[in-house]
Amino acid sequence: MDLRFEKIYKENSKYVYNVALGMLRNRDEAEDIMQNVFIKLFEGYGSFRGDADIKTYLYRMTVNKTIDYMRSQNLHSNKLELIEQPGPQKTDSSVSLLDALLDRLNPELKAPILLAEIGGFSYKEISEIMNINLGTVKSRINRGIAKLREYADKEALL
Amino acid sequence: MNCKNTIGRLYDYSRNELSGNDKSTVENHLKECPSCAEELKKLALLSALFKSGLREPSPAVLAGIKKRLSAGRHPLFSVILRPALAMAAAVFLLAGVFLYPGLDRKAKLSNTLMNDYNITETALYDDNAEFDEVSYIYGNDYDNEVF
Ligand SMILES: [Zn+2]
Repeated sequence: MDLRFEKIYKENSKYVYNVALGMLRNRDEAEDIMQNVFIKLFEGYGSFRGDADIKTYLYRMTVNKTIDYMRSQNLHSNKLELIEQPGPQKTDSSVSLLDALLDRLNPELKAPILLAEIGGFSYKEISEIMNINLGTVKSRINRGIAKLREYADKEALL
Repeated sequence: MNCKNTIGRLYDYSRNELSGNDKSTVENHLKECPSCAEELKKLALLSALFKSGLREPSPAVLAGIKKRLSAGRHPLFSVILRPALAMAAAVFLLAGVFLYPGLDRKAKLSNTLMNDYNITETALYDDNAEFDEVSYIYGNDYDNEVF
């Protein structure tokens, strides 16, 4: 593989993977999606203009593909709207604290928070990645964080 | 500023997303309000959770990418296209040296070469044909929905 590709993979894969994992909460599915995103990136490498362009593409595709995937998986269930349902029991050792928290959020609120916390992106950058306006990013992030905080308080998690 | 307004801006503050005036208003409130200062600490704990939860992708992912990339393009590119491009470049170079200013002749030579190998412009761009997903965007605005 081209050395430039190795470098791009090395610099970005861990963070891209953890965004996918945070969205899907399943390692195999997250790895599948991430693998396809990188392959598409490398196959079309010539059409990108620099590192920022590549990063935007990687995270945009990851977020879009995970949301699409979650939608397709939940077509016949209400999982996307599990707002007030009880989360996983924290006594279950396989479910970490973070997992329990992430399960409280639907994909549209979770994605911008993961992009900020894991990708380290500013609200402006998130608005470009998700192709939504800055005000929407801000309101989704704040709504998501308020939900997480409320849940953490209720369960005495933090 | 009261606590409710401050708490609503604390995460933006922690991400350094507040402008000068808003930022100093929040900072002034934090200095005199232990409960909001405590809330800021909890947000920091939340952020730390994200960082400590980071996991490594399996090495199989990179191996799979390499495999797919090497399987994807070689037959056309290395057997036909690459030699053809190399020859076309050589022909252009020779034509430039020996036949200049025979520009028509150069074009004709390269056309002949392309025809010989049955290479069309479409073939040259085939590698990227399915790459229109670069413009794939998620434009829906869910904000009017109730979560
Ligand atoms: Zn206060």
